[in-house]
Amino acid sequence: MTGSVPLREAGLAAIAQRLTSIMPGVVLERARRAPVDVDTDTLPRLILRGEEWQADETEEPGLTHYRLAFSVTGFASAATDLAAEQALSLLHAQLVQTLAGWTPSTPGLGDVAEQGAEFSLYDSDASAQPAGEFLARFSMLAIGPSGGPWAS
Amino acid sequence: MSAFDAAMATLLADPNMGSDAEWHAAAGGAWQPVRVMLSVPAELVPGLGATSGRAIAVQATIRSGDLAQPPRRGDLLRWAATTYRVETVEPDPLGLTCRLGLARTS
Repeated sequence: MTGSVPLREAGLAAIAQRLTSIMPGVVLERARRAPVDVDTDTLPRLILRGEEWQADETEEPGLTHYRLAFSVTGFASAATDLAAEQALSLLHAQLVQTLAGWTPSTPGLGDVAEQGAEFSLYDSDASAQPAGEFLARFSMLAIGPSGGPWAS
Repeated sequence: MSAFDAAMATLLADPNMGSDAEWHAAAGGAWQPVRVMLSVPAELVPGLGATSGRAIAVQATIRSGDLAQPPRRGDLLRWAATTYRVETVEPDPLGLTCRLGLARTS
């Protein structure tokens, strides 16, 4: 079986669409490689990246259950150190609320599960602006015919 | 005044190197005029994931002798209509100058 939209891309695109529609006040970028400039880039900002892709062929005959891991890095700044940490916590909570437990309507895509997160408030000798970032990890179930990881 | 101290005073007085600023000790008192040498390096902050951050660090070098008391964390430095809070104080080995790490207060 072949197709035009890989299952992995369909999953990441659905996640991006979900974030854009539910969190309109937050800038979302996919697969950004350049550093985020907390002084000039608009914040808060989320960066979505696809990570590992694991396959399990033991769940159903003829079908492969994939685990699409993805990360969302969140950047926030504020007027004070405490406010920056609170802004990070708020952005992270909104992100988890938006994604955890959500099931896309795209055929073949399943639930999103929260895996955990790390937080970092930038040191003052690196950033005069109180700012920081978090790295939140999630996974999504995706199911396709064995040997055919296509969404359509 | 030692040769090194005189050299620093000359550099700070140079209009191409130094800037006029105002100092306010956290302990209180009036704003005090000082000369500072500013640097605003862009620092690459090691990120948690593949996407890292970049931020502007603001640092000021000041002659220790220009202040009534040693600079401390929490003191304020104001120039160009912006007020910064002192976060770090790094004196040089001779004790003539201090490099201050600054955080914007707004």
